[in-house]
Amino acid sequence: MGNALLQVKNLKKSYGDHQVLNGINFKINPGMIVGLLGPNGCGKTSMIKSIVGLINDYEGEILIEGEHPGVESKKAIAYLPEKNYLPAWMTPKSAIKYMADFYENFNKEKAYSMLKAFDLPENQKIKTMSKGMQEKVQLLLVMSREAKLYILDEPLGGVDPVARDFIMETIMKNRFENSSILLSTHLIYDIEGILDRVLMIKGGELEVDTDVKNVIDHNMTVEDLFKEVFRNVF
Amino acid sequence: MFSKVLKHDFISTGRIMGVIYLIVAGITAVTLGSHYLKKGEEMAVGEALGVAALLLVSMCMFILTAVVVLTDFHKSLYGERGYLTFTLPVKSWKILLSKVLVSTIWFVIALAALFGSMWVTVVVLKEEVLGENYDTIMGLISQFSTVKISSFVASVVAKIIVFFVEFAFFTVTIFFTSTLANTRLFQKRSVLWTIVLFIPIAVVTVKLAEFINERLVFSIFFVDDKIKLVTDNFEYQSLLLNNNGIDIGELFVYFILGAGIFVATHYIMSKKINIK
Repeated sequence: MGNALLQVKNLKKSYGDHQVLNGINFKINPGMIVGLLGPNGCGKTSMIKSIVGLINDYEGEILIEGEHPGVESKKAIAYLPEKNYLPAWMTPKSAIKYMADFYENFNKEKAYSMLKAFDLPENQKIKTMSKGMQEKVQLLLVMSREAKLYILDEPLGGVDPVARDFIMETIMKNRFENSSILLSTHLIYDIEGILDRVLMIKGGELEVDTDVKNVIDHNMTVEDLFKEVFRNVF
Repeated sequence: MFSKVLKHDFISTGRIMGVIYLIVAGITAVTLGSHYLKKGEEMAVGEALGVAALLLVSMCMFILTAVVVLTDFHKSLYGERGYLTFTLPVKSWKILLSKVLVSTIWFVIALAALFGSMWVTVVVLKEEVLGENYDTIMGLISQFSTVKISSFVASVVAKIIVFFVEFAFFTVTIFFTSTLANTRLFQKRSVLWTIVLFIPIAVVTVKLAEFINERLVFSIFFVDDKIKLVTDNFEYQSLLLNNNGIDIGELFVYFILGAGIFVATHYIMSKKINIK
């Protein structure tokens, strides 16, 4: 566990009296694909927002390549939020230009080839696109980054099974070499096969932090483990 | 990287501001076109409507600018676009500073547009409509021909600096209010709270500035083509009536207060806000 790419130490976050994260600890090493699992409202997004620098009033420590979230960590992390974050007036072309302006590790050629592969019009305003098209634009912007860590918050939420396969294929095909992925979802079945490690959050606490290999060694699937951990939650 | 933030802030706000200025340019062209192409002495309909529309739009320019910059500020930082803005590899104070600078420049341009529209009005209405006022205006303008060019340039540059600092102070106050309105306490009705909180915050900051200014006389006046530093209140009051001057003390107070509000805004923005 020598040089962790991401290290989270005793992370606590509350909104008023409501404690959403209560002493989370884990590490992600380079090259790992980690599933962040848990039901809606368990604190996954709050944790991700703390890692990417959107939430700063947390307790504990977050280290990305040994440094606190800041300009350098933002260069290393490519983040795909649940929300549509692009301005309505932007087109895929102007969004690519925007990202290329700010991120040195943004690969423009890759972005245009993905745009073509996704069959997206480069000059259509994003606000006039369907939700699925908008999600594809955001995905290609993230996956065109030659990042060290991809943080994908519910990339499979609200899409049909065929689209889920397409998204997962895009992620796996386009990730930068030896990069890590932290993927938050509650659709375990679709990602089970690609995960190296799983983190499960329950009631703001890290309930499970284990290699997928260990789960398989116990004659279980990740989905079985998930059901066992969250049986009483629903 | 800061220049890129500035560039994209100009692009983001310029899309709407550009359309507004295109309209202003269009009205100006129609007004001046009607004026120079008219036959006879009677005022053309195009001229009259043009002048009225131009003055109206120019006077509304400040409100339009305020609405555009505030909307852009709110959406790009505290709306869903905040997910993009705050994950850019740029220090958050630079993001805020860029927004203040770009917005201030739009306010200065709005002021220039107002002066421009007043000039068009003078040209079009001339003496038959403005009467004695026309002579007064022309008299004021002709005074500039007797002033040394260096003094004139210095005076204009100084005035631009004054306007810039005062507009920057106004901008940062609006942004502070919007930021406060996006904290947990007010977040559910952030737009409404921005409007409600702005009035008391603006009153308090302006009163505070006035309070300090009354106790700090430190001004520059352009007297007989020379720069004169004034620190005496009596001299200040007498020169204020007749000469072109800049209240450096006031400028300094606005600058320091503005910087303080900027720091407070940045603190709340980076430490106390959770984007929805």
